[in-house]
Amino acid sequence: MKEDGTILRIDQVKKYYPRGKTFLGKARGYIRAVDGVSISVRRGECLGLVGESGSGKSTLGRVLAGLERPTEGKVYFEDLDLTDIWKKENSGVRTKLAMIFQDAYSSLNPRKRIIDILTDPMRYHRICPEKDLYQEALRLLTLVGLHEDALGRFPFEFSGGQRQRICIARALSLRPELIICDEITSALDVSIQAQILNLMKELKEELQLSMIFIGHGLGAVRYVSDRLAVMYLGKIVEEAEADRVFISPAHPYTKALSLASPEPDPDKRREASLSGELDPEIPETGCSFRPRCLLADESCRKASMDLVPCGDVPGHVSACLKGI
Amino acid sequence: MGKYIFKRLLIALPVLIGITVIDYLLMTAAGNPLDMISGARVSEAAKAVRAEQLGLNDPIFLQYGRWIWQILHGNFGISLKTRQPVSEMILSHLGPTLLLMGVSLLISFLFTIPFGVYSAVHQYQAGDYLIVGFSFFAMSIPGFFLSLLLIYIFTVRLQLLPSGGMMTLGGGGGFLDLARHMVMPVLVLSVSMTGTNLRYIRSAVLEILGADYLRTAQAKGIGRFRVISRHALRNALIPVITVFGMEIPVLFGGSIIVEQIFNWPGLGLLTMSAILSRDYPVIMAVGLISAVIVLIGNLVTDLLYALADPQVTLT
Amino acid sequence: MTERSEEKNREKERPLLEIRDLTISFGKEAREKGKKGKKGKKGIKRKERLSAVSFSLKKGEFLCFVGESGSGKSIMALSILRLLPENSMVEGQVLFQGEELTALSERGLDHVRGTGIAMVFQDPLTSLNPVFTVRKQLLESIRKRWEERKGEKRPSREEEESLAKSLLLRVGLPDPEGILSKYPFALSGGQRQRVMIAMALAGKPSLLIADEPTTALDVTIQAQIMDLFRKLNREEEMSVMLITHDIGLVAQTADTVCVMYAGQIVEKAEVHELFRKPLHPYTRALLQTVPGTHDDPDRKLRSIPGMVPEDYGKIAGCRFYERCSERGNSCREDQELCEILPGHFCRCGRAGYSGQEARRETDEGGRDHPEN
Repeated sequence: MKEDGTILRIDQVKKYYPRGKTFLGKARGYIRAVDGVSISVRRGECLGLVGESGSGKSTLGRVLAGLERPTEGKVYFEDLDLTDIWKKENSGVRTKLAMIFQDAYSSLNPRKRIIDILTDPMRYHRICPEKDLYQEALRLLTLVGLHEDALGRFPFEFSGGQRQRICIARALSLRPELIICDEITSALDVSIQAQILNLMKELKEELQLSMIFIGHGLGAVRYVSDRLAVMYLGKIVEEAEADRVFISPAHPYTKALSLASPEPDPDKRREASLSGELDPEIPETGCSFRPRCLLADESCRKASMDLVPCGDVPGHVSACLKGI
Repeated sequence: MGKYIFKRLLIALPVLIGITVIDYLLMTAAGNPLDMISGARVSEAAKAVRAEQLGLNDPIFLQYGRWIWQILHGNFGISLKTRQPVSEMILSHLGPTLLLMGVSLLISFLFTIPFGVYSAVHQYQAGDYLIVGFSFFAMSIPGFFLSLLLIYIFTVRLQLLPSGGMMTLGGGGGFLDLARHMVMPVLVLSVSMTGTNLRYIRSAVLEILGADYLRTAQAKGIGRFRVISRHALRNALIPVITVFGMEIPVLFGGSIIVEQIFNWPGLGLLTMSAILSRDYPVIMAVGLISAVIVLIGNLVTDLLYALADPQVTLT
Repeated sequence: MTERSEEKNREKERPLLEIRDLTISFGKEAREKGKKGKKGKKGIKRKERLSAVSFSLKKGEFLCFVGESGSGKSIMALSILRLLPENSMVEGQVLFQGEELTALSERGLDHVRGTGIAMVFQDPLTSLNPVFTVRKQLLESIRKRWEERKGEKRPSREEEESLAKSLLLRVGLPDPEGILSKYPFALSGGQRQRVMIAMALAGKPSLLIADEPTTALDVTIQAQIMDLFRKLNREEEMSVMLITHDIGLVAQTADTVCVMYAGQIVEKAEVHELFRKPLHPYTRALLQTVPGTHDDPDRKLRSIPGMVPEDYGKIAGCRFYERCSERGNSCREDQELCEILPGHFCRCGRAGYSGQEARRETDEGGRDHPEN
């Protein structure tokens, strides 16, 4: 572990997908899903990733979980270079990272009982002796707020929120140090979403977990996160303390995003703050948010999208300071 | 489109070459053609001379090369039985088979589409049960049995239809005569197809009836008929095309039995008699032609796909 | 008709849409009924999904229905234009401009569909026919309007085309020519939903029902679509009925709000009134479950324990009882929707006297319960 407590660090990670193929199978162009992202997560910290669909936040999550190999760049987990290690199958590192997905139903094998869903990974990775497996499964289930009688049942017997709890329990079964949550509350009702968000927050405290929380519901991501990164077209445009990002946004995109989120107060009605849609045709030079930005001017054609510190607030960086 | 067809033909080429190789090897493995040509009374010495003349002692790839070369020039050899050029025999038998297949396919689809749609729209009602019942019956009745049954009813009992052939011998022929001869074989072929197709179309339409866009169409208030005929049918066509593509080889196999029973002068009949008399050149040619037709059928299916489904792009 | 002028006067006060005691159930019996008279087969289960819902909607009103999944809000919306699957049974009255829709034949209802009431659905990808271009689907809606107005000269092909383009421009699609010849799969989610709205507007409906229209979209696009709805509502006096689960959207758009729970309206009020003085415990809980972007960092999100009951048609008494943190003995009895404050209706017997008290209590933040 590093001095500053960094558990996961990525450096200039890129993930390109080929787009269109010529007759000989060569790519005509690339979709730059993740385009040079560097972030780090400290132990016990939750980093939130927000952005519109197409911003590359889910792809980044998959790269971090080792489900996709980055086209370029390095991923370090506790100083181990994962891009090297993933080439060798099944190193122990894999169990230290877990991922939870949006669709809890299709993430659970419909023909397995909950007990097997929870114990199979533990058995495979020899997390605990065979005789203790049941107790361990029970402990996990209690941890996520379900009762013992759930163990003998099948996934279809549970509601969406309960299924997501099972997914969380399974993710915890290998005693990971970092959990990547990809839109885990998007399919749930608000009252259930609140239950899951509170659960994640409690688990983080109790188990000293590090988390990456990806979502498009700004309020929900903000609620569980300590730090927030805003993504636009494969790049991080702003990163700051979660409480600060929406209160004093520096980047015009963050500002627009925050204003678009519907505030539950009829006295604060707002017009749409952002016109147009996210266009995957990224401008070759300059700021990629330029076509939709209200503050864009000539200088943005050449502006770099490197993150610069915003004032003297530690940890607050932005690719543009026009929004301040 | 043109580029796509060219590409597909290019891909089909290795498949075709593979088929000729298998075709040739199978036939070579089946036995010595000399025995067929000459019969038992010819001396071994004469046979040896003949073998040398025909090049049967050459390495097999050389023989294969010669065969392919001849085929590329349109020469499929001479039938051992009739002493006619095989290409002529194939040509004269291909027409009737394609006619039989085409008409059966057409009739089957003309019948299946409206009834399949009706069945789906009126799910679990009397009409639906009737149609589903029929489709089970049609699928399970063997073709040869239905053929014999039809012959018994229409020829033996009612004496309405001829039991076999394509034209009345010595008669003037004409369309009506042809049609009379076609009724029973077409019926047998299309009944078995209809059975399966009904089920495919019914389930395809059923799935589409629950689709969101049909609800949208209904909410537009354009009327039930237009919702079904315009919005549902066009979408149901896509799975139907798949069935159509699968049916062509099945039809080809099925026609062998039916042509045999009804004495229909098509490729099936030719194949059957060629096999019985071990007429190698004919068997090889028929095998090859069938393969080509199936390949063309697949290509046509893919092209139809692109026409029906805008999401399929031909590249 | 002699009553005509009188009727015109009443027109203004008469609600555009009035729903009385709408009850919807699903099950096999509904289908059997059509065939064999009123005799249902033995042992057939029917589930009630909407229980005696009544409300009315004035011309030019923006009415929001909010509730979690399973509250019956979508089913209610679909039943107005009779778009529910065949195994549903609808009882009660649906009056649109004074006309009883439930009494109409399928053909009769087609005159209301599209031209009187239009609908926009949740998933714009599956709601557009994948094999037709936008042009074909939009022109179909435009032509429908002229079919309705018999006697009027049908517009020429060019006029229809320009009408289609102006509709697309109106819903915020800047390149109508390009959009028209595209297939739905080639459009983005936001563009698809705009096309859906253009199709709905083509019939010049007096009521637009939007069933979760932005659930599948990003917040930025959602804000644009909501702008459009508000504009249509304000500038063109189109009544809008918005079905959503997002309490934030309600606050941003509605004139009047109906909160639904387990097949019933549990609270109905003017939007400012509802957010300022939520009376029903469910409404209050719902308001506290939504995380905001400007929340206090120490705020603890309240969650409602448990979930919407499965077969709620059979529950005696208050349907929120099991999950309610303020329940009492009187809650075991059936609750009526009562006008507790002027124009503010609530289905909770305790709301009248405990409202003040309860509000103070929940302001301190509720306790957290796991789901089962």
